[in-house]
Amino acid sequence: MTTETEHASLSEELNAYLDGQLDAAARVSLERHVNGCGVCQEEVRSLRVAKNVLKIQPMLRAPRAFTLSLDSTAGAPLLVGTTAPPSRWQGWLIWGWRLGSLASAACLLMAALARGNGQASLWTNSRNVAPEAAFNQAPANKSAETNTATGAGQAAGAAGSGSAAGQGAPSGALASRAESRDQVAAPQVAAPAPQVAQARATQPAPPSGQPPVTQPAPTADVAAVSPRQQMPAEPPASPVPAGVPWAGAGVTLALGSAALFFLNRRVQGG
Amino acid sequence: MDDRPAVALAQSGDVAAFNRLVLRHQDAVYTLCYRLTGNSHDAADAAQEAFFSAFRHIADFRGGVFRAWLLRIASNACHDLHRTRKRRPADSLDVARDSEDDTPRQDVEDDDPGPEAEALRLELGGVIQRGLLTLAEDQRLALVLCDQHGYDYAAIAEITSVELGTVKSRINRARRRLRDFLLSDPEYRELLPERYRLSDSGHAL
Repeated sequence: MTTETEHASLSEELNAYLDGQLDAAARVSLERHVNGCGVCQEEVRSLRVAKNVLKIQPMLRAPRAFTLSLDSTAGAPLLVGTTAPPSRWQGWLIWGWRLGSLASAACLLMAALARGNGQASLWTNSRNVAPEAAFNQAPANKSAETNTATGAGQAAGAAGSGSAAGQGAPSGALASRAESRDQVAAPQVAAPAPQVAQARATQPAPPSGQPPVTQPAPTADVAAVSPRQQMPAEPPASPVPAGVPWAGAGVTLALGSAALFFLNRRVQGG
Repeated sequence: MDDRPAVALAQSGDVAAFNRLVLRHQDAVYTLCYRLTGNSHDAADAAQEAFFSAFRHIADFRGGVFRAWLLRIASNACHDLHRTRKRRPADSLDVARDSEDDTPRQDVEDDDPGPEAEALRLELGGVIQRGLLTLAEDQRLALVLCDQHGYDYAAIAEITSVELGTVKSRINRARRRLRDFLLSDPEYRELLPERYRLSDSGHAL
């Protein structure tokens, strides 16, 4: 016996049947059921009435002609509360603004990626150094970390260790870069010989009571950074990776541009 | 009537050709707008906005049934107008005052049915409109497109941008609710044409 719930679930099929939307197999199956079911027969009759009373309603006559005048199609707003199509120069302005926003976002993203790649290459280079070079550079990093932990050391050494440890880069190459920054960041100090400066940057004075860390001999890598002393000082490194703010700004601008683009299209009835 | 020549001309910027399309389809567009908004003032505003929008975007029309494309734009215009009215209820009150005697003209197909039959038909039309306004907006649109405009479920799915199953569900709910509305008042049942009379239980007599 068909339950009330089953009849309710048949309702969609009955309406589709009335609308001629069932395929032949479904129609035959439903007709077989309806022929033997008084409830469904009455349901079909009443639904058919609801369908037919709407169907027999005549089309309404438009109260006026909705034709467009040449003026109204030339871009001038005719209806209160409606959005007028943009004029030619407004259209160029809108598209220029859109393209400019997207180009700016793309530039920011590329800049962020470039900076990110630069760091990645430094990281990669440091990992690819020869074993003996890595061995020689390892104490420099260790001393930098030690300096940060103890809070002691001279200004140049503290700055060098802060940048290296702050960026979390355990690379000798990065430490070398930091040391070159230290050397040019304090021009007032009497410039020591390159080897001495190297020793100060990578080997800060140990706190009293601690044995001095063994200082490796300067390597070819160290000599190679000497010319960079003539370059302007770089700003102190942020603890946040350098590419992140740029990438954030780029993504924000790109998303904002996209949102404004779609909003503009919607306002224009797109 | 084939709309394609006029559509092609309109797509090249021919306003006169577009206006021929307007005159050809404006009754259908206005009827849909009236069924969706429930008053002639809003229906006229929505229909006019729909034709403006259609002209602005006629380059986007890629073939198919032009009237169905117009009805889709008209339903969007009605939806936008409905949202505006919800945000600014004062406008709705003005419309209601302006539309107190709001009986739209109908295209009469019968030959002079007589004043009494005409009055009954107008009254029935008003009852059906009130019943339609009890439906959810999306259900009302699907039911009107199906029963008054004669579109099949696939066309309605395309016009309303929903799945076929959703159309089926909306029409089912809408028609059952409209039937229940017509059954809810004996006076409504009296207005139904004799061949469509329903008993109290909803049975056709």
